[in-house]
Amino acid sequence: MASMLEFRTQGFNPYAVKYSPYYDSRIAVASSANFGIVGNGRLFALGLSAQGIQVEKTFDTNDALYDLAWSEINENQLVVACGDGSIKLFDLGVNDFPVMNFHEHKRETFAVCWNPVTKDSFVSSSWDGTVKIWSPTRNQSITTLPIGNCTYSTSFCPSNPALISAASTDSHLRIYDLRTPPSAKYHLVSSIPVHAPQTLPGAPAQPASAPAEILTQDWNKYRDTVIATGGVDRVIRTFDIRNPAGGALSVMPGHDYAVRKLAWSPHASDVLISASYDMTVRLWSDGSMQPAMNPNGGPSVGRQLGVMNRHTEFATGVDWCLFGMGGWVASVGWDERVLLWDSNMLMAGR
Amino acid sequence: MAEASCSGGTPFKQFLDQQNRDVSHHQDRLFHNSFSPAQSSFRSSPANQPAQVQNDFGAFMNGSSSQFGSAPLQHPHHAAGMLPGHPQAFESRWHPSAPSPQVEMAQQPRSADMSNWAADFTRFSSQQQAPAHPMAVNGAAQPLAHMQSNHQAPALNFQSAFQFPNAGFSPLYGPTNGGLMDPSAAAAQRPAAEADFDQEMSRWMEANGPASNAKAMEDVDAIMEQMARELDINEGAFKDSETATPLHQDPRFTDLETPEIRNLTPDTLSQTINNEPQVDQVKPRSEISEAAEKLLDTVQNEQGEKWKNSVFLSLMRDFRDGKKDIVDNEVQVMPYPSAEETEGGLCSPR
Repeated sequence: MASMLEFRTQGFNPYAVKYSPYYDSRIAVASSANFGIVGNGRLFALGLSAQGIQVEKTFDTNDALYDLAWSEINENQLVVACGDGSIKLFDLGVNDFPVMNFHEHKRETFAVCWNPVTKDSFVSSSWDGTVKIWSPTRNQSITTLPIGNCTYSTSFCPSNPALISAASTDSHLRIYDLRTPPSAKYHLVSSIPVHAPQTLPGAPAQPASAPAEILTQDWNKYRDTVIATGGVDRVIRTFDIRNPAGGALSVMPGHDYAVRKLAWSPHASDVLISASYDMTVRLWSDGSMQPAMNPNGGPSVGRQLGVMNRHTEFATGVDWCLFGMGGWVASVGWDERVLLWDSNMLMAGR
Repeated sequence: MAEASCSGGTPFKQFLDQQNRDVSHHQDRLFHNSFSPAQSSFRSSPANQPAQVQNDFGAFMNGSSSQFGSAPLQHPHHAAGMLPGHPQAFESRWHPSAPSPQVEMAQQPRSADMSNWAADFTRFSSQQQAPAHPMAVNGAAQPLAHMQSNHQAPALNFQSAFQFPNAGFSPLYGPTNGGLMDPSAAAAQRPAAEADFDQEMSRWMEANGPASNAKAMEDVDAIMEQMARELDINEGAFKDSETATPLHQDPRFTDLETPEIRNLTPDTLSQTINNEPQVDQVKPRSEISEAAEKLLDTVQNEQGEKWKNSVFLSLMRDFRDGKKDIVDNEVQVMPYPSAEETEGGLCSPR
């Protein structure tokens, strides 16, 4: 295994890690005391230097932090999702306190994502069953999208600012298009049953799997209609949102416990990385670069490219570095560690 | 050519250019209609709102505002209150054939309140109002169909702010109902209304006025005397039963080990308190304890070093075994029960 850079978030268990979209040497980590069960949260802004990973700034919050997103329009700002339902906007130039506080969610806010295209808004999802769209300049949300049950993950499409995806406990991946009139289904344009049996014309029906909570999802950075999901059933699946009833494009079984976080590579269209409650981080290829292997037309089975086994507690967060040669990733786990490592070592045999 | 590429030379031409400019692309803006209350996502009204607004206003002018008084004040931009669970619920909400929720509210019988002065007036005014205003609803007695035939449109929310107890004849707001009723019609109704009002007021004062109060005060002395006599009788009967049946023979009131309250000394009091923890033994386990047990059951087959050394799983074991618990929003160590306490049946923390 290649050498790693390591940082300890002493006393706090990380939930999420994100590279800055502006600097290759800046990373932020959202963490919580007592594994997020009870207690405070701490946001770490870390910088990479010749001396290793060093703290640039920390911000403490009254409640646990579950996710974060860097601002796409201000290199010093980022938002965090708090256990008390609030979203806080911190500025690295301002000490101690957030510069904005957005509090409408009734329960834990569990995910935030900044709009990467228009850069003027961000989206959040919560256990209160809603997804909210915010502007960083106003305290009230711009739009609320009803989901109806715990929504663990939401994100903007990386190529279309009007498309939002949301994954929730009811085993559905929902797609919202803000260009549609809100009166119809509150912008809901597609609802993909992740665990439904696959129905393809002229092909035998694929068996359904038991519905399970979806904990994470991410848009492919090259194929803007493809989304990967992961969750309690331990299997990573990819879907084409243009064919909601078509079932999964590919499946990637291999994790021993629930998949907590996944992220598509910004450098390769078929590569993604996942962090799991089995304490591993795994690298995958969804097989889209290979010719179709399944003659029945069912989902192709992806390939595991490698396993990173250094975390000693649940692996909870992972992210790709946007810069350089590509392949550097950051992973965090409840072992109070932030690990930066080169995934190219795992992909050597690809 | 220059004129086509540059703006108009005169203000009038600029105005024409402005009018002729294609603004259809504005509809594709991300938040094209989020700021418009009429089209905002959660309380958007049906397309025929202007006609309904006119109907509502007509209904209001006809003095039926109290029909809508029971409709709750709704917040036009609040999402959480609109979450019955699933998007389908929202679809039916605005289906053309679906009755308006506010109409449904108004259709529910309103219980007659006989408890106070204002209610008497409300009842009175309703009785008087019914023949003069066929469209006005007389509380619970008004048929449903009448309501539907005249008021299909949802009520305007502002009407709840104008919830007069008797819209047509309120002595508090004048016969014109605060200026909202036709003055000529009000003038025609005034003599009869005032005569009825005087008659009803005198009747009410007869029943509830100072004379009746004086009579009531006289009755108080008699009532107090009777209560004193009953108290003497009851005390005598209790003493008789106490001498006939000793308390220690009645299992419902005491037992052999429990001293009577009047015989308690500090020693017996502490002894009694020490015997109380019998209740703690059946105290249900904490929520975190049960959750920890379920989690540990899930991973009980894991034998790897990581799983054995996991700090998180160790914490879960402590929660499960009652060694730790969440007290006052903190994880606290609970003292172990000593051997003597365990033998003595004491399981509660010291």
